[in-house]
Amino acid sequence: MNARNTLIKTVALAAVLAVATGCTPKTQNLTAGNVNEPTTMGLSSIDFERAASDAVQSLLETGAVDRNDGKKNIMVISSVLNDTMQRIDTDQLVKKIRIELLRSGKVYTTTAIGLNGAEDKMNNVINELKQSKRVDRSTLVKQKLAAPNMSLSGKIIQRNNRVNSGEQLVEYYFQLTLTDLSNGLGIWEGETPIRKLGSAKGTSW
Amino acid sequence: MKKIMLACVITTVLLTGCQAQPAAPETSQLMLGPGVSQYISVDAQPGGITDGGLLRQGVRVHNRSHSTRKVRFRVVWFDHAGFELAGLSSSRWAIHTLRPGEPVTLSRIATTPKAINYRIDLFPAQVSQASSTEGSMK
Repeated sequence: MNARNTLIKTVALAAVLAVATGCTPKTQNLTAGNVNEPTTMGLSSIDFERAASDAVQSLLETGAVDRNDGKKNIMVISSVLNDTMQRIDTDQLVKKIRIELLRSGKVYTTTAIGLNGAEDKMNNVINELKQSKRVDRSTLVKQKLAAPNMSLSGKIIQRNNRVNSGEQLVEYYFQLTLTDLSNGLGIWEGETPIRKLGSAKGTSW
Repeated sequence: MKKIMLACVITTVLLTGCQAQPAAPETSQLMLGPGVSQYISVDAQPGGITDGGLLRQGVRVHNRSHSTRKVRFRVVWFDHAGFELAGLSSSRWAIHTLRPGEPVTLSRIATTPKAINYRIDLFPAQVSQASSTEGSMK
């Protein structure tokens, strides 16, 4: 009797496990340039890619980052505010823009200067090495930081609107400004609106 | 002696000037996805170099069907050796809505001066993964 109970329990457990495994959605790796990307009401990587690509194309098209003296621009990242209901890191947008502008050969981004200090703290720590006796002084680099001549700032805005009882419209606005630091003038402005229509039951945060 | 020196200077200046501009693409292609040629007419392939010295390419099309169509578009950039250049500009598909009869120019600027050649991909917006790379050269 005991053996029979154990057998029944084992079979039942195996059946439950089999059903649970079968119901679990299959995990997939999504490759770059994937055509059928899943669409969400919140912000996903495809939205950041679109906003960054639009900004870079506009920057290159307008000539805002072109110089005719053979030098390259030094850009500092100012504040990019997240005014959405989602907890996002604005570097998801900014990093893509930085990569593309660096690749264009027209812009360097300073990692030594920023509103919250150096992005790469090693820019400050390197100075302390001069005091250390363990460091070979002949290998020390003479630090002379390049000052930025332009600044990138912006904001990501979200607005939710109920369309009818079953649908909602979620709008995101990626707004960016490039400022010429020599005179404080905004030399380029860009806005990419991304609008999503979906179920009112879905959440966008 | 002066003439020789002058000739050298002119030659150097000319060579430097030529280096600043990317070479014109030789084997540029337009790849149309399955079925696209049935409702899209390609009117022109404008292209050139931006003031900043970057390659810019596009395609001017119009939808000759009687219904609105959605297509996806990208420009893949290649370096002098024929290798595909990575970057948002190459990898990102952009979806465009084409209304009947409306001429539309789709274009991209290469985000690197290394780009000297390109391939324009124009596919239906919705295709199965298996056929996402199938298409016909134009």
